[in-house]
Amino acid sequence: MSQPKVIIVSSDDEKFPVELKVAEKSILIKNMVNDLNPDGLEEDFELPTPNVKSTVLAKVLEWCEHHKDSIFPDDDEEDAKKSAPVDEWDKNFLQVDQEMLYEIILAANYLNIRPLLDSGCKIVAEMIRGKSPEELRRTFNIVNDFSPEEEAAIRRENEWAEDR
Amino acid sequence: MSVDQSLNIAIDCFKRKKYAEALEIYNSIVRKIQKIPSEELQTMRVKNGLTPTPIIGPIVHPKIGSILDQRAATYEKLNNPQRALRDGENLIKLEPISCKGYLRVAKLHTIMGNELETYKVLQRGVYTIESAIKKFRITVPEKLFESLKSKYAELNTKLKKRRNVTQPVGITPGHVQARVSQSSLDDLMGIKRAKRNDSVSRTPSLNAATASLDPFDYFPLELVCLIFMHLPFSTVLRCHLVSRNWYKSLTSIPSLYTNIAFRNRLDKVEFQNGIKLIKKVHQNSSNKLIKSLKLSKSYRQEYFCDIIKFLAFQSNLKFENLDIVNSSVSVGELLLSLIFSKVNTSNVSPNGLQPFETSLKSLKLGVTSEIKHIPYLLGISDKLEELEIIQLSSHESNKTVYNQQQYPSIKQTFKDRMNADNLKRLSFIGYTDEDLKQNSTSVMIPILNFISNKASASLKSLTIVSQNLVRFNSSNVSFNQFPCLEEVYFEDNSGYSLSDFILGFTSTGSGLKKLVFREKELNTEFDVSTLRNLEFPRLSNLQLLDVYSCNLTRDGLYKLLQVVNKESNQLTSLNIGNSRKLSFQIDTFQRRISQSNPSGHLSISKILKLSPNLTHLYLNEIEFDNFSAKMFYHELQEYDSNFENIKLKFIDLSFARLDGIGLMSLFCVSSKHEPTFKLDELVLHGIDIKSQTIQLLMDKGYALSVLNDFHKVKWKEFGINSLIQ
Repeated sequence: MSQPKVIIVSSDDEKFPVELKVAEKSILIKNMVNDLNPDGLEEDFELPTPNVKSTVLAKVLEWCEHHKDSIFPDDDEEDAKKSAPVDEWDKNFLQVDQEMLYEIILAANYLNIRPLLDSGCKIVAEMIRGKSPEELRRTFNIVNDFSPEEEAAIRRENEWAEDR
Repeated sequence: MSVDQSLNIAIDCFKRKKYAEALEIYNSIVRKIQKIPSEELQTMRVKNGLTPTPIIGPIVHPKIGSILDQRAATYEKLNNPQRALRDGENLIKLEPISCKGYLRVAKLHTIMGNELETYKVLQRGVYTIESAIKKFRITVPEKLFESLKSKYAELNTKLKKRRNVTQPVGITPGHVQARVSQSSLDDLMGIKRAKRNDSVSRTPSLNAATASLDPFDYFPLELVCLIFMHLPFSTVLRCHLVSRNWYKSLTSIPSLYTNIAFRNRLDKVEFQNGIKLIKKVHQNSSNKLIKSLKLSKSYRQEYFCDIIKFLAFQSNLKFENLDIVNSSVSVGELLLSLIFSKVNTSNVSPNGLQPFETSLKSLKLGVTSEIKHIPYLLGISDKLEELEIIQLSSHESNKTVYNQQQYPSIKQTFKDRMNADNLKRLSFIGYTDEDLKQNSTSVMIPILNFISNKASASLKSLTIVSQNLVRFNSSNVSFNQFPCLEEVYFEDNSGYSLSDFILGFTSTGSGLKKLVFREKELNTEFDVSTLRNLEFPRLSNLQLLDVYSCNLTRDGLYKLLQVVNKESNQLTSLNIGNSRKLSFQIDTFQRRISQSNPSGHLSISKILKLSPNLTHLYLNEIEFDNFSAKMFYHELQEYDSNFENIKLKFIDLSFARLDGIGLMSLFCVSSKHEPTFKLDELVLHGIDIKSQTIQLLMDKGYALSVLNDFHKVKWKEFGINSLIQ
């Protein structure tokens, strides 16, 4: 008999049957499965994720599949996580357009997949790092809504800090 | 004239298309109601059948919705959509659960042709109001809400259709809905939602359908925080300049503003601006805790004093780590005098040391002249875990920044505050200037004295650099009095040798894990006889031994290795760099001209026999040439023919007299079939070696990484004090 699966249903009603091990990369799903099946999974288990649409869910599950055997450091090693560079595979995996990247981050946040969330946030951080305000506006398609006076005031407000 | 009456006249003007007149009346109404105090507004609200305080949003005039909405309509007629928009956005801010604002703003965006903005504001309205209905069970005017919902649905379908044609992946309304509902209502309302209302004049870009999006529009604050957590503080500040939305959002995340470094050459105004911003950001934070504050130099001495003063009187902030070193001001005394004066004037009120007393864990500061009272710094906080005192040679005249007369009267009260219950790390960095050092009275003795007299001495780590320890040697402080000591770092001290330390460290207590003892004077000899017949229980679990520049003879080193490995062979890292009495076997010709090596050369196999778990070996600046390299390999082979039990992973051979050939023989590269040892890292600074040779070593896997900087300067890189001044 084959292993029972977790069937994750996207917001647009597409069904994604996955191994329990893969689905459990999401702490949200893991907890739900455990809470509702205290004696272990005996048959297929359907789980709706009304916040994640199919295109995004497919990507997220691709990540879970790839990392199903990966071991991630504990949450409390905050500093280690902060300084660690983004995993190479993740970096390539997250080479998607901005909206997709954002949606993956939101989904990872909702589904509680901490390592994916971290990778995503780091990539957005890298998009911000070292850029001038003008470059940032171009990167994120933002219009400068400050008056010149306001801008000067904020510059003054920042002058004290070490620029490193 | 009452507001209601004015309002009626204005409406009348509007109907008669006298828009300019109407506008004037509306303006005067707005001016009028702005002046009404909130208590009065509450009474008015009750009279109008409203709750005194709105469920969401600030206390506003009961008619504010009509007033602003109608003024916006007037602006609209007067062809001033920007002003109209501002009224609309303000309306949303003031009455987030009124449909009017959203409808007005949506209409204006439609007029201006900004479909995406229209969509956003409708969506925001529907969600804010729907959530509020759910959460607070309120009712809203049905007609208006229905209109809002249907407009939203209509535009939704329209945009969806278009997107499906132009772009496969986009924001589908379903997604946005989901995203919004996943955040809690509280997140949606109040501060976070309000931030968008400020982006009044933001005009949506023409190519909004392309993949560029503002992350601040997309993510809730907690994710913005996660993103910026990876960026330096200066970047956070720079991002203030991007847009109002970015500024508002960032400054509402206090945790991004807790590691603060002030720029060099700061003047008072700039500093105050900084503190002002920090205070503003932390206004809404629950603990108001600044994790670290670093302040190194200021342009003028007077400013610096003012700055410290300013800092010490911040009653709204708490500091956890302070790092204040300035070569022209003795921060230690200044801080003390301020604290003393506060204690004095406020009669030791509980708030006497507010910014520090309950939070300060780590204090690093510079002192210049008078050091008599420095031990009182131990009273600054009962949480103090780390104290680092740096003695600076001052280039300017030492002004007495405090009034000495104040001291005696409050000394006693302050004495009671002193405690070292939590003190774990203590560092004293002395003068690098030799004359000053010899003549200085050490600040450390009274502090150590105080701690060692406490039964609960919790000190784990002690660092003593560039101190004149002649007096220490004769004082009655002994390291035996610190039973928890785990790490000791001595460097460049005079009047105290490695043998003094080891022979004085015979007590029982928890075992030392790291011992760094970099001697300066090389007139004493550390020989095998030094350690004969003595027990050193606290040294037998050592993991790291660094005796760079020591006086050990070969047999002295062997004996010491025996001692430190006695119990469990814990030693993994050994530094014997720059030791003049230690050398490896070198070429005969070289030996003849070399003065060293009076007591026989070192044997790597003997070192490994004594410390079988050694992984890191530092042999920088030691006698080591091509011949030594060859012998090194042979000895290793002799020690373990398969190299299987050799745990060495890191070797530093910087400044050795090696060339490429020597390097090859170190790993016995020529013979292809023989097994050899492999390293993770090999450091070869100051040695002129061809890059091809280094590449070969890495390619063949002898060393995974090789560091080689020919121009590296000796000594300077090995030490604490050289980094300070």
